[in-house]
Amino acid sequence: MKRWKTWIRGAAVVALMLAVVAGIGTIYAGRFMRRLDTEHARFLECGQSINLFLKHYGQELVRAQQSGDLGPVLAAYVEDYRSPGRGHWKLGPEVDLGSAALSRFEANGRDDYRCAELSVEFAEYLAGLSDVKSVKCKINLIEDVVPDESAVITVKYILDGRDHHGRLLEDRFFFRWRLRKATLPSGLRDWRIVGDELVGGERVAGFANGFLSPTPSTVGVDYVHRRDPKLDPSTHALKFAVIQHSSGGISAVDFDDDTLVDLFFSDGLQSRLYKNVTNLGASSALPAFRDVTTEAGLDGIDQAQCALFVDIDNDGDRDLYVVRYLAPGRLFINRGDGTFTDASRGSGLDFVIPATAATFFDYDGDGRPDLYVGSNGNAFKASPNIPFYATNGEPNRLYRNVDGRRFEDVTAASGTGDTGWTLAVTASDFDGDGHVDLGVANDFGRKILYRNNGNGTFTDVTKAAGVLDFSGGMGLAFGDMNFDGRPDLYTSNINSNQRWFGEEVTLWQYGRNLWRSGWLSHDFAEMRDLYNLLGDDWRKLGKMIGEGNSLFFNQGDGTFREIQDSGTDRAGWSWGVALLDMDNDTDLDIVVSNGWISGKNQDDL
Amino acid sequence: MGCDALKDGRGVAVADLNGDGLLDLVIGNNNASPTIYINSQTECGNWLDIDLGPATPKGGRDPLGARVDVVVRLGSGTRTVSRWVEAGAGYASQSDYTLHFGLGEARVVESVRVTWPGLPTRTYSGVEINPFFNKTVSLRGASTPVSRRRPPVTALSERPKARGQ
Repeated sequence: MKRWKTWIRGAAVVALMLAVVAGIGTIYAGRFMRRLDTEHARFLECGQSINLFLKHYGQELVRAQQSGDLGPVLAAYVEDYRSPGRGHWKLGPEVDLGSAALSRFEANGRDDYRCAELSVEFAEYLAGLSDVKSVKCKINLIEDVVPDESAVITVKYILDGRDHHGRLLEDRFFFRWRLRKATLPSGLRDWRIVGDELVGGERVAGFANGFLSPTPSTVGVDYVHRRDPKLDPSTHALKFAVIQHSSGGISAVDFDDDTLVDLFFSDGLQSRLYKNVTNLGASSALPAFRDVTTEAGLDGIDQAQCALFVDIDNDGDRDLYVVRYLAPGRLFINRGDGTFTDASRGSGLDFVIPATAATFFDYDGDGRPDLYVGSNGNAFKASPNIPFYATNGEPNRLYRNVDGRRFEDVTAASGTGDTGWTLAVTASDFDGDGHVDLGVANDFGRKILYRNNGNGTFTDVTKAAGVLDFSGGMGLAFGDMNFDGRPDLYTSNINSNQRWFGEEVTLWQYGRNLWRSGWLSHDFAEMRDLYNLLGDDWRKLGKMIGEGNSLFFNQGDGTFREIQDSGTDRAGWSWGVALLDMDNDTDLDIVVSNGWISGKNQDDL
Repeated sequence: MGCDALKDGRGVAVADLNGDGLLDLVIGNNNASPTIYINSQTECGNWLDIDLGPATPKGGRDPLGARVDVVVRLGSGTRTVSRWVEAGAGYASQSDYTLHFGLGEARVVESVRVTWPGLPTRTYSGVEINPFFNKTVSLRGASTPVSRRRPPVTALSERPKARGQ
């Protein structure tokens, strides 16, 4: 009995000790976390104030070019500015790219620089410009920071203007600046440049005559895109209002097989079909189009995201499938004379999902086009659950073409029902085994490469293939960029000016917020999955997410190698992407729908 | 490049809209009119367009997944340019099915290899293909190549010039 009491007393003491330790631990952990919170808040605040400084720096530079007064720009540098061995920065010789010229911005020599040398260099640089439209400076990376004291950052500098030959030009430079907090903040705000270093840069200049851009109505295209009214956040309760920006799909396909390429615009209210009626014998270089929506029998297609012309029933003409967001998909069979019959009902393709993208491909090799549809999340019910690895979208779908008129859902059996917030899908036999594979780009997530096993199933081989490419994925395209006969992969991603923010300190803060809000246990499966995919690289997640577009070379062994410094990232906030040989020189050029970026990959690599 | 309109760009589709052998671009813009870029570059290479046709057991207008390799002589060596037939890529876009091959300064095609899905590769010799140089060749039916209608635009008949001419 006594032994029993002793045992209870002992257990109580142990329990008490544990409670005390746990209590102290909690207090310390709480303090520690609060300290980290403060640190993170200071980091954020500091970054924002530096960005404000950079904004003013750019504005002052534009004014200096106009007024010739460098004073306000030089005021951004401390009086004792000193960069030993920095060298003289200037543009190197031009490389002819056909309709544009490229020159690199380089450091020459190893001269020490002070303010005097700096003003000479500025004057020389600005003298080479006849007009400056804008200068945008943003934090690229915060390399080191003591909030409220000093920072080492890399800066992304983009100048748009004109040179004395009248050419349009864009300078894209990266600098490393050492900054010090100003004791007396002035018009240039809180920071001063103490020293600088050139990381790299280039100028692209051209006469901008490579492309004519006619007002669409002058070539018969009087179309103006309108959004789906149900996605208007001012009249509808949306949990993810960004979705209203997602539409704007376009198809350029010869629907009536007259050798001229026609245009179809997917619209929120009324999609339109324009027939190409160009007179090839005429002297105009411009094409001509005519709206044939009504006569083709395609009136009333609303809520459309994207449209694909494909010979679905293998009768020799191109049919039409329209992907719609939270509205039944619509199938139109081409009668063979350029008019269409609605065959949606009974096709199996009139399912309703938050669809955003689609591709037809023959996954089972039976000669009939099968359909893969990319699904976003349901914006009325959810927003992305985890900003860098959202998994609460609705599953993508794979539909097998049974007999040319009927499709069956084979998503589950094929294993292709990814639940990311998909924005783009594409098909390509990346491993050359004769079975066409699938690529998926997810917003708030990663890419997915589904390898077609040739037996009706697919395997997610993204990690092994090296193309996880975590980011705000917007588009992806396959094409052979280096003449080895293998499809390479280019992905378009958000290239965020918040890139600097994606540091480890922010990821830790995210983790702490998750832990405190109780969401950590909720998101545990995703976090574990994320860790399995990335391993210790999870610390670099912020960098990956903000880094912009990616180019991957196919190595022929089922894996890809990411090409760094190809000059193809940082294309801004990219949506659509296409690979094409725009100057008939055999190599593929890249066009991203926020502007053109890189004409000559072969030359750039 | 003259290709830098400031709109809320979404889909990008690629096709030769005016039949001059240069690929043009159409960009869908959200809540705005689209942007049409007509390629008017002057220093471009030669080209060959290939339109594939039904050759699979089930027939069909476009053999999805088919692959074409065009071999051209450039300088002292040869270069193989590969393209695939696909339906839907990039962001909410579909580009023309005709496969466009820029050929640079090459004056002739050495050979063209066509791999229809599930069928053995067929090789066309340069002799068979070269009549279609700077034109659109139809390989539909796969027996003998024929020219598609699309005649050259007279006003642009000077083009395309091989670079360096």
